[in-house]
Amino acid sequence: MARDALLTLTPTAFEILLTLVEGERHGYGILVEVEERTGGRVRLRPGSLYRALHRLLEQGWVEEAEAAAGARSAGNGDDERRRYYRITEGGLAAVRSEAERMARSVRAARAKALIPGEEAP
Amino acid sequence: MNGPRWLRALLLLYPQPLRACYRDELLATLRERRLRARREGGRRRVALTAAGDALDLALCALRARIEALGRPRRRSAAPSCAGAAAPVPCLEAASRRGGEPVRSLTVDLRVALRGLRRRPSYSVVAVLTLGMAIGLNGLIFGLVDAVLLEPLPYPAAERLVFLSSVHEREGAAGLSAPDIRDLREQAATLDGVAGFAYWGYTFTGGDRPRDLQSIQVMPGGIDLLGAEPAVGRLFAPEEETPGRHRVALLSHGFWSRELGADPAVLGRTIELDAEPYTVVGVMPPGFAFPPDHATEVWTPLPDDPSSPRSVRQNRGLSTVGRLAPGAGLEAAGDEARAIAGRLAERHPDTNKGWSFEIGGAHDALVAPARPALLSLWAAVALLLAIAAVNVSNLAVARLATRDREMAVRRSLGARRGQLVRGVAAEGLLVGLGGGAVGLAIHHLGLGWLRTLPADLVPRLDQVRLDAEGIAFTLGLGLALGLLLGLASGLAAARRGRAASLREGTGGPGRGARRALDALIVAEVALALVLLVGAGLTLGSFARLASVDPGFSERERILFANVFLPEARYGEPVRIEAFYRDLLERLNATPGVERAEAVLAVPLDYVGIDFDLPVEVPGRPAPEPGAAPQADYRVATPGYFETLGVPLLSGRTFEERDRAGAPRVMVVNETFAERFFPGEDPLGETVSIPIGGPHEVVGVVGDLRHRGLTTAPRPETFVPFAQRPFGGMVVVVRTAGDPATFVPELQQAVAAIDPEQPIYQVQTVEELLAGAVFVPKLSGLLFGVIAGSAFFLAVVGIYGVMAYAVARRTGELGLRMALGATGRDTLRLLLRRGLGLVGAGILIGSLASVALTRVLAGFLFEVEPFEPAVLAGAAALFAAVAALANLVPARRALRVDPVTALTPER
Repeated sequence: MARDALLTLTPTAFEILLTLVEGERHGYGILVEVEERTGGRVRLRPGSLYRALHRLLEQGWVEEAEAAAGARSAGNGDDERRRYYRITEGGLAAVRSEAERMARSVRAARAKALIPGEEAP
Repeated sequence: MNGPRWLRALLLLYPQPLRACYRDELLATLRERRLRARREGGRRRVALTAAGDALDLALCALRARIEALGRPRRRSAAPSCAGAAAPVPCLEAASRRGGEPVRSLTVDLRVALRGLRRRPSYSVVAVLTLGMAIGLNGLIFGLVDAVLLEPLPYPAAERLVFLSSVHEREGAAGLSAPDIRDLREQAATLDGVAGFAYWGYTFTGGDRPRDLQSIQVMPGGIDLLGAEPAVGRLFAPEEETPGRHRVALLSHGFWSRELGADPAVLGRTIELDAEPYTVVGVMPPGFAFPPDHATEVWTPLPDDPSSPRSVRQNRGLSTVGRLAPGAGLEAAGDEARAIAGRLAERHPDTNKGWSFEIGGAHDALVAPARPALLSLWAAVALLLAIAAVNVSNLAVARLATRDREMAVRRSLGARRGQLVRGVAAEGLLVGLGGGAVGLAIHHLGLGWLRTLPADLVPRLDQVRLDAEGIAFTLGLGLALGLLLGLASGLAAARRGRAASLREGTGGPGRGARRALDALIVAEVALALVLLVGAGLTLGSFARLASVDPGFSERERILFANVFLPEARYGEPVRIEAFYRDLLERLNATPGVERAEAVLAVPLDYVGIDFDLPVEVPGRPAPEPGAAPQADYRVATPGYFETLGVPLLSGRTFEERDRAGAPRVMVVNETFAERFFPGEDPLGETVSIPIGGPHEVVGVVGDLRHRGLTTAPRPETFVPFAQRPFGGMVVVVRTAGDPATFVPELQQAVAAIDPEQPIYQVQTVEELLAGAVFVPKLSGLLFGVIAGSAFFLAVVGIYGVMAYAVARRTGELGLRMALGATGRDTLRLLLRRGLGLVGAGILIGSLASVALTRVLAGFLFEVEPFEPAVLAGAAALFAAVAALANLVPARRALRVDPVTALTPER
């Protein structure tokens, strides 16, 4: 992946990739997990979700999973129409580099005592 | 199934490939969200979630569309989004099904451009035809907009009014200063009223003496316009008192040109008519008052009781006013008439029978140009209609020739919708091209308009090609393009339904033929209306140009105004000495045949125009205020001979008619008929306020003093020697070209008084041309428009008819093979062609009669119905129709029937 493409990771895309790091998910599964993980602060709607997914597919950071029966045997609403998505190597690199960038930013903010409840080192 | 119908409908907003990929997923996700919302929060929550999701969906779909526009060709880079079982690239799959609308628009346009390039003659003709019509429309719209629609350049200009006096018999006039002052005091519906007079100060501070465009205005006059000076102040009320009136306001242009934009100009003295005036202010750049006059300096109109201006009969002032807040034009008019009634009671000798009229200032200013401009506008609109019909004709006819191409494309798998879209896209492109050409024509036409004398058409200097004009022209092109695209697209769709490979060899289908017929009829009717309009306008101009102005010397004459300022030429003796000296010098100059002077030349509104009450002693005294009036002029002895004014009886002036000799007068024919009907006026005495009783010694022919369209008025002439005026027009008849004589005239004046300018120098040809300029211009424009329309109609009719006949070659061959004679066949074709043209002529004639009624209202001496014009135009169209049918028919009939019946290979 081109370096500059890494810079275009939107918050939505970041959340999706972060979710997929743990394993394959279908669209609705991503949506629910993001909402739960962020305590409802990031609420994806279906249109935005699939728009972002489409982009990630185009960029090659996400791909469709082949039918891996074990991952979706539960049968609770899952049916054969569902597509499952998984993160690629490129996607992993992208989300990692974005996370590092965020960490650097957080460090910088902390150094300026901007984060409540934390002291400047 | 999967959620409400409207949510599924929303998915249609998505570009097709995306929709194909994600439709099921999206619907499933939406359904689960709905279920969860119902579990967690009931109906309200469901509604909120659905609304939020719908909005999100719509926005995302739009963004996807915009993105798809940005990269229409990335087909190979399309991701695969199919399920694992059968990986099918999404976009590929989608494009097999016809592609998405936005993408295909660019494709359609590309294909259309290729198609147009393949048929350059059609494309060029169509684009130029539309361009010409669009350009003329833009140009005339610009004129109409600037002249008729733009408000005057003052704050709240719609509340400014012009006032005039009207008399039941004498007609309209200006106002007198005392009447204006009474109006100002009494009218509650007017916030301010001020009189002003056009003036021509001689300014002697520059390199050489110069005549200034000046206005004398009552204090308060510029204030009521809402104008503020850039520097200094406006006039104070007490500055109309004689003695305190020598203050001046300067235009920005005069201040920068003549005074070098002197920052310390306030309080500086400038010399006007040899008297010192103190500058009190400079107006901002662009300020003009009156709005159509390039005024350089304004001074207060002095309120001098001893001046002729203070007489109530002297209705010589232009008057501007502003409606009071809440007052309407009608209320102001009513009040002004009531005041006029009171004035007539109080001053019966001067005001009986006179009333006031109030009109919007803008209307009053543009009224003379309005009918001509509006009819021009209508004419270009008709031209546009003809151009549109013509191009549609071409497009529809061309479609018929493309049946075979369309059929081939269909059989190769193109859908009908695609073909129709392609045809529509061609129409759109032609319209846009026409808009671009129109813009160029608009621009060129504007350049030409600017070369016209600006003072002859009000506010001509305001016409320019601004953003609005560009938008109008391009918008017209776009609208026509859409219309054309729609029309030819529909026609193509209709053809498409019946189109097959076999039909490629036949004539145009029934529907197309009927459409072509209707277009021919419309085109003939429209062009006929325009031709009749142009015929009437040009005929009116020709009649106007042939009006006898009253003098026979119409070349080699030079006119120049001289205005001797009172400060230096206070006494009549000095004035007389100046002109005597000047005329002697000029008459002694080689190349001069004769030089004379007169108070005002014919056909020219500028000059000193006196309108005086006339009394014939011994006749019963007229009713107060009803004294008949006559124009008053002063002339030197040889004036009538120099200009070639015919002497009907008696004599003209001679050297013996000098100061102190018995006062004599020459009258015109109209005067003699009005005041001495059936009698010989020679030897009779006529009394006028200037100079008292005069003996009539001669009668001369009528001169058109107030323009060619105004009937001659009663006129009196008195000898210059008996009543010298400081402002005269010098009339020089030269042996050669009068225009080359101007420097010598200037030298002659400067030799007597180097501070004295001459102004308004013009040759008699210029004078005559000016008198017919506006009618000539509108006649010319109308002629150009109608000529273009006729040309378009002829080309269109010929093209369509000839094409229709040529396409029937097979049918004609069949008729011949079955035994029809050539004569029969020709008759058949002619009957059809002439029938169509006849229908068009009938409709056009009816419309023309209506048009004539409208035009007759403002054209000069137009016959209500001119059958010659109508018949001529009708004959031309009939001839074109006959030719258009006969030429291809002859060719068709020469063809061997067997060949004609054999299908093309």
